Amino acid sequence: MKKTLIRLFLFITIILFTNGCWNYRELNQLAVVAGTGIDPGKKPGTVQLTVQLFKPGAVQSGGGGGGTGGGSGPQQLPYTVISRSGKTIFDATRNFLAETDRRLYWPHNQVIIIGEEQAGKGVRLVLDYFARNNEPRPTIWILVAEEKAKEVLNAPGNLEKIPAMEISQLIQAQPAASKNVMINLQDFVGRLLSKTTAPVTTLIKTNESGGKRKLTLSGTAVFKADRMVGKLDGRETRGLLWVLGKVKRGVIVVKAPGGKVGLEITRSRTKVKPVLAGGKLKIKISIMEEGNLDCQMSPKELTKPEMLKSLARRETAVIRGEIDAALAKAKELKADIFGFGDMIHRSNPKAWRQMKKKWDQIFPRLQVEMDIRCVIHGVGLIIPPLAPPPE
Amino acid sequence: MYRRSKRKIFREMLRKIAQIKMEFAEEMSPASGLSEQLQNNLQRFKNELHSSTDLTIRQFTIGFNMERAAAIVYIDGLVDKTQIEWSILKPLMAPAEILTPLSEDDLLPQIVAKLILVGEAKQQDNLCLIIESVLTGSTALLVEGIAAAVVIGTPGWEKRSITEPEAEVNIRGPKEGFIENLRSNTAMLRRKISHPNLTMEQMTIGQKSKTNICIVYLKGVAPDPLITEIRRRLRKINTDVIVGSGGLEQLIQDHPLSLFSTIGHSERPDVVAAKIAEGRAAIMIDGTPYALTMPFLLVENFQYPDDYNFHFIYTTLMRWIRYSAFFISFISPAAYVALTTFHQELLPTPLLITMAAATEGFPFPRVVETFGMGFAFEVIREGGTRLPRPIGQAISIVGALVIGQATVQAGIVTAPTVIVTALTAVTAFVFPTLADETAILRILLVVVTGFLGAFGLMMGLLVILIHLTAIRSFGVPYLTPLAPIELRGLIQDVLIRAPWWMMWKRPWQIAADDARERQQFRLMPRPPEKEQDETSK
Repeated sequence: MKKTLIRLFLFITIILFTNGCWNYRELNQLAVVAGTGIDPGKKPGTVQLTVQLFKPGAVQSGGGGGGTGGGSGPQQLPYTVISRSGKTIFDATRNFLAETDRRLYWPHNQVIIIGEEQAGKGVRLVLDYFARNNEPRPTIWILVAEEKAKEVLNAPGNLEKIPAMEISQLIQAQPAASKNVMINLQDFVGRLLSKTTAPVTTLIKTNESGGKRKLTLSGTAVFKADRMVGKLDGRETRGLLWVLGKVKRGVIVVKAPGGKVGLEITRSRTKVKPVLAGGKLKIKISIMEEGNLDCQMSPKELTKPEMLKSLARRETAVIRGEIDAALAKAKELKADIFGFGDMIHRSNPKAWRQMKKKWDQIFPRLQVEMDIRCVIHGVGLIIPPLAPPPE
Repeated sequence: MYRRSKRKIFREMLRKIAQIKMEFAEEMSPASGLSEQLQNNLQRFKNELHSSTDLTIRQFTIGFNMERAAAIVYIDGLVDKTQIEWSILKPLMAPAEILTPLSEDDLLPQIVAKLILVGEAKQQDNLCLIIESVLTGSTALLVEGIAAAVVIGTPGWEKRSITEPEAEVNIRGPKEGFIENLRSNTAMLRRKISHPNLTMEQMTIGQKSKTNICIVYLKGVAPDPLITEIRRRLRKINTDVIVGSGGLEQLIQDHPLSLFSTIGHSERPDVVAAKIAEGRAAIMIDGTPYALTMPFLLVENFQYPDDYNFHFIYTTLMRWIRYSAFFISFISPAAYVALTTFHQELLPTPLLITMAAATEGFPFPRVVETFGMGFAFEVIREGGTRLPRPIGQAISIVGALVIGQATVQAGIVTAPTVIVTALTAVTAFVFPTLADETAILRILLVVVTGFLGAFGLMMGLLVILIHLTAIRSFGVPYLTPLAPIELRGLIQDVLIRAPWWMMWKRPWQIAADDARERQQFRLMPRPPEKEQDETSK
């Protein structure tokens, strides 16, 4: 046993460390790609690839202590954006060599942004390169731009030096609000390969505010097969996340006597079960949510147990509303974004064989039963509201 | 077949030549007998030592009426002159009636028995052996009419006083270190272990240097085969001069071509005593403050005497810091080369950007930089060691400033390379006994990695690992207790340094089979039991 373990350890070490090949290259021979955008090219049948490249020369090394060395001269942007067209993605990547002296280096690519136009035409063929090649990582975030991908990549970031890094961090920050999906290449390809489950991605757009263009996440793009067919707004996205069991954190606002109350989601568990009883298909969703009272805008004291229970009931209604909205939108688009089809396939393969072909007709009429339970645990550091007590 | 026989013949020839040489040497040695005439004998002394100026001959007369001529012969500087004056010359030169009536046969025994006031004195008639003793600090007494001499032990030469060892510093341990005198050194060991079983076997090695060496071990604890093997290896040495401990080490090492030393050395009596108590053997060599200890294992490079003085949790932490420092020092330059020139995808993105920014516009490839900086560091280290101490420090400062700062500012060597080299250098100070081996292997790894990337690094490390598992020190695998895995050894003194009350067994494979237990099993200090409470009432 000990021997096997040692051998296993050795093997893993060797595999981990030896998958490099004979490709010597210095750091300053690489054009490190930070973000990629895909748009249709001008000529039909071509694609336009936009890449955001790190510009190491313009990054000031030694951030804090840069007072002595840097500072003088105009600030150079630490990145550069270039576009090229090609017959295929791979063709386009090599066409870049016409204007860059360095070969594109993909492993540090953070995001793939697909322009809305290209998304409407289909993404299967343009993503093939990224899934097939060994350099781009399967954990790149996939987004759809509500405009041209090129525009998004050209917009400067708010806080970060490199916009692509900002987009990547923006997506990673989403679980705190649970209003946008986080989909990376691997997830996306997984959904793409399924016959019924509809792929979704985060939507991004640029906003003009104060003379500056800013990046904003703006909901969810819904695909049918590999074409984008519609969008979900923030509320519908939350509904989708509830069903997928991906709501981890976030705020639910409910009405209470005297004003609104913000409830924080601290934990949630979702169970989805397709039930086939008497030839009738029913999806049962049960959600268990726990949270805290985080802020109240009402002058009344709401922290009594009975009151908290009533707040929890209202919270249940809000969650139900969010799921209903998402369901309605999905049924309207006939896109099974929740993956119900695959769930039936897994739990009841026999029944699925008959349903499979008619799924597009079955899905819009699908009956969904929800059992939502909410508990409010804590009320924070103070018990009465920050308001003078009613006389 | 042909080749083999040729080699055989060649070997035979060599052996014969050596034999003839030896015989010749014996022929050259003085005829062993002494003559009865004093002047004749003294002349032969002078001839044998080629009238060396430090040979001192003092002639005088003895007897009640001073009727008989006599002389003492010694080497100036090797003897204690006061002792000669007061314990040999004074009693002999006083008119002694007991000598006069004696026959020539009884004279010398009576002198030894009644007049010489020195502890070590014996009659000797072989001139060859007499000269040998005189050359190691004895005084020979020759008397007219007698073909023999009395050899009196009067050694007394200048020696360094016992000081704190400079190469092995510790904080809480004893501050004494070995000196160049074998007897003083063995005495220091005796004081640490005053048990009759502490055995010291003396041997003389080197036909010309006649170096005294001493095998020290605890009989019953050190395995007998180990001592037999040490004796065998020492006896095989047929050389003229043994200078230092390193020379002897190379002559008895298991793997003379291996980079790794399979014999340990220390100038601290406490360290050597502790190793002897574990069942190891030590070889003390006259004329050097270093004792050799064997068998010597890789893990001993990470064990310092202070480890056993400090708290065991702290020591365990220090051990792990040393292990990690070893690995950092060993592979960081090669790993740096691999990451920056082959596997940039392994770097976190922000680090990649910083690194890329730092390397932008620098002329040399990373391999050349790393190799060059490593070379420069070794030069500075060597310079700092060889030069007299005050200048040595100056060299280090100049080297560090010029190479560290100026090269970066001038845009010749990138800052990350300097950081990696500095990290390598600093971490190497943690394990001084392995520093030489790692310095060589580190450079080799950088070269291999420069060609093959992480694949080369792994291959290099594997080769080193395989080599380490293959070598032995006096029959004990070098990686014990790591490679023939031995749990007790690992948790007692390698992965964790157990507290003393837990180390109730001596290291496996080191101590003799029937001497595994070192101390009582339950030694952990506990509060007094109930009966003692009653007495306190």
